Amino acid sequence: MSDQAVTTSSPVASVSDYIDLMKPRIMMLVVFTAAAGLVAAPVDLHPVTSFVALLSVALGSGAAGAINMWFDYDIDAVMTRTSTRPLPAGRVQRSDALSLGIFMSMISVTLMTIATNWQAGALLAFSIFFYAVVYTMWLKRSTPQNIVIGGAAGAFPPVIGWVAATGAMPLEAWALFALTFMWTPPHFWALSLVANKDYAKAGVPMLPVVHGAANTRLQILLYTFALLAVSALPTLFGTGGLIYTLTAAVCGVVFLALAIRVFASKAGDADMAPRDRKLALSLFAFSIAYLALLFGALIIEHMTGLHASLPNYGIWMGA
Amino acid sequence: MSFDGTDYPKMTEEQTKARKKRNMVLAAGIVGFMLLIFAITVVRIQEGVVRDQDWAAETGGNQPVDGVQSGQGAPPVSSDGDAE
Repeated sequence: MSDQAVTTSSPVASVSDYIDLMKPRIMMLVVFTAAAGLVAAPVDLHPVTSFVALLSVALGSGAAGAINMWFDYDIDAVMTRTSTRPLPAGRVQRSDALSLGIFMSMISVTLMTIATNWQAGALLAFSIFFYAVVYTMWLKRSTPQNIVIGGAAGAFPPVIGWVAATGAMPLEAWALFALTFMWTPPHFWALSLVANKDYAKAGVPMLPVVHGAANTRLQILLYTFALLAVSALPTLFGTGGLIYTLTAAVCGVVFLALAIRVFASKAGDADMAPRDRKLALSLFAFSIAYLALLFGALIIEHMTGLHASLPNYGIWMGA
Repeated sequence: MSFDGTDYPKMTEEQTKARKKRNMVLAAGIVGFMLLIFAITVVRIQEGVVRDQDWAAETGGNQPVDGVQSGQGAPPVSSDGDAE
């Protein structure tokens, strides 16, 4: 080897850095909710088709995450919570993140379409577009309602799962959409109460930054009431059986109790005590468990056949 | 500076290992994608064959039903899984 050869000093991008670009924790929750829609739908898919459908949703979620990180490079570098991500840390090039996002978007939509139907492929493409463009590029930096409207992107997966199985989007599927949609604001605002200084520093107009912590705590409580009301829809439509209903009731009470405690606290205020911070983080952590438990209950009911043996709650709707 | 074929950037051993690992994952991804396409194709063909057989059994052969000509495939499936 020649002495003239020079050694590059750029950081080494590992496989895990590319996985981090795809926001694996969000991906898991997205796949879980999509699986619930898939198994709750009244059509049994071939296991291979189900696997490919869920893989497509995972890849689509990862693609949207990679494009989000590409666009939010500047914000992520400023915020403490996100400053160690692969792009601001310099381990992955921005162009690589964008390429990965676009490539995986195409792969995921193609796979979904050929494995299931064009409706599911189109809805997956729309949800990627909604997260990457509508939420990330437009709403996030322009309105405190960013995660309310943008939450729709994360609420599509159960509908995608349902459409993949049936080719249709009935009200039962949209009930699962509504559940995830109403869950997003209290979930995300609980975190933003703790990270509001970060958001202010980055210039992101999150609710606590624009309207203050007290208003955010009130909004969390109001959205929690709405969430509890919406969580009854799967029961009313007959999608959720006894296990789902009991899970939703018990978890709903815990969610409400935590939301009330956060409302009564000083979480997000300048003089926030460690206890208040812990309360907001507890609500954030429980909200993740809440969604996983409710959709998990649906999956268990429909996969074990327990749902079929229960009374038809659809009669509550006069069906 | 003229290029004499030797003044290229040289990667460190760590970078070489990381690139090799990335390439292996990429290769596995491509092979996995090919296998998925193959599996999907097999399943779709099987589903089509079974559906055609069921339809033929129900209608007593490939007779035209409600304007659907023989060879056009099985009737559409409704959201509740029943053939319409």
